[in-house]
Amino acid sequence: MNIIEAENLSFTYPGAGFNLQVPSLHVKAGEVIGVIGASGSGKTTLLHLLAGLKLRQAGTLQVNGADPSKESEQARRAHRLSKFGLVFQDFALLDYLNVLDNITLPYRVSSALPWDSTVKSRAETLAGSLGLGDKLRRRIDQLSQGEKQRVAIARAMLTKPALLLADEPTGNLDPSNKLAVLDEMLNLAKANGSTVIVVTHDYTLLNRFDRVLQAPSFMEGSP
Amino acid sequence: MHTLYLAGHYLLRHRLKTLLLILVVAVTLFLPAGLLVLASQGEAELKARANTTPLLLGTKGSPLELTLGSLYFRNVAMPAMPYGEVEQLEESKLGLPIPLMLRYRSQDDPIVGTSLDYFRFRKLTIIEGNHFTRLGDCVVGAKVAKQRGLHPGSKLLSRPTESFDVAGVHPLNMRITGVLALSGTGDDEAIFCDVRTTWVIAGLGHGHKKNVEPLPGQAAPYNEVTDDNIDSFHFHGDEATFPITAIIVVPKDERSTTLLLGKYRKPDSKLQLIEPSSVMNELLATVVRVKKLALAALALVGLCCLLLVGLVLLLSYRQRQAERQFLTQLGAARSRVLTLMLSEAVFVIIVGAVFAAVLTLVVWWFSPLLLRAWLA
Repeated sequence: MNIIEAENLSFTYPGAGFNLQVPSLHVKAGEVIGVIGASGSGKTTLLHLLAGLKLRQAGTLQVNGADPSKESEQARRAHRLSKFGLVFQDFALLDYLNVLDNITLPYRVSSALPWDSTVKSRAETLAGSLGLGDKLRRRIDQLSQGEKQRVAIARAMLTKPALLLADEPTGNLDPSNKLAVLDEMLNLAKANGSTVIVVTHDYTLLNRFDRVLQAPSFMEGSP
Repeated sequence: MHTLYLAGHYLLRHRLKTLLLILVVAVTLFLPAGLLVLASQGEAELKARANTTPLLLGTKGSPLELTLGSLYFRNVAMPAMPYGEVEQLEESKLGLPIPLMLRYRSQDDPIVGTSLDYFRFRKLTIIEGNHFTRLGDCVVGAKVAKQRGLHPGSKLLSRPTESFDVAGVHPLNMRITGVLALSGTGDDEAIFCDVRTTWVIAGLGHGHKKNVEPLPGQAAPYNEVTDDNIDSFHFHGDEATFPITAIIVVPKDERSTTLLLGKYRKPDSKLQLIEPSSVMNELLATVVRVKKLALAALALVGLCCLLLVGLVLLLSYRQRQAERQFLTQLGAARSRVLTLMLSEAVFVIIVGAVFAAVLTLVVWWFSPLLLRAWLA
């Protein structure tokens, strides 16, 4: 069963020359896809289209059984919160919250994910599996870069997403950390049965993916 | 609920900035509010005292100084007038004259030489002891008694008028016969005695069995009226020529008021009969003008402060652009993100306003004390 199906997907930024073209993209549930390419080749734009942060201008797109451009803003937000996990290069952590509060953040920003008694314990278990068990009350600025990205991964995985979208998740990590963090993220996703799409420009990571798409053509190539 | 949780954590994390903003808002709101409260209370207090004093007779000069000195016991120079005016007013039967002799102090508390009519006129009651009945006796206001720990039977010494009195006029050690109930007026901070007692302080009356030894801890000798020497006390000269500083006149009726005002309005009169309420209204009209100016200046400064607070909050909002973008990407509604960001401003304004309200209440509560300290 395909979780992502796209044909002749197209997006152009208003006033800019760049034009994203994806002739065909089919991703099976549980697959781990790497998207590689130079800066400005449209990798992040593709992630935004998949997450419903940007809407296609032409072609067709189905993500997790729904076309984002046919959904309301509210539905897209709810979809993003409950079905997708997002990991960013700059971690996107809130410096005024501790580790545990950052991990549970998706449950605090919208009523689409109701807060229940299991949220905290699940977050603690997840943090423990990422080696953050003794750092739950720490402030974000007291963590290393690798630990910050682990917090971001825990936050993305807490909702048990069907689709994990990671934009340069190892971009700010040193070489010794990046493989470890990526492996931890992929292991968690595999255990959860999540489909993963990782955008990167780091060719040393390619052997971690089932398939690799080359931007800007988004043609398939083997790792 | 979660929005408040997140907002609370943000404010706690930036507690110094939050505290400073709250203080700026609180002070900006409190200054005009506190000034208004203080000015209104001051106006009300000044007006109340003046409105209950129908007429005041004194020597020609500043009506304002005569009013402030006689009604509020302010330490202003009031030229003397002869006590004979009291007798003339009594004979005219146009009203009740109440003499006032305000020239002496005990420590910093004014000694008011008057008659027992003053207490009836001001509706002052004795809460402890009795009224003065004898030369050298006095009753003290509630605050004087409390501050100095005085009770009936205690003594208090008038303040020497000169450091080296070659004429031999010594301070008078007065016996306290009573303590007045708290009235919330200047009477609470004064000492009252018979007008003749102030003449003894002035050296116009004396006894022949003087006790001139200094009190323990006092350098100067003093006078004291006792049961032993009271018979020997006497005054030299005609009492009608003895000094008083003012007379409160309570006219019998409106006709009496008109007649009295006419009598003292004559150009050759050395005295002036004033209506304290008019004098205070004139003063307050000036005060109101000054108050308006002060409020306008405060409002301008306050507006600048609030604009600066607004600028800080706006910069803070802009600084959190990445956070806003991330929360929206995560799945938060824009309205919720905006609420989260605005909660900082709302919290600062609400807490600042509450602080300002509390400070204003404190000023209102202590306004009598503050006004006394300010007017002293």
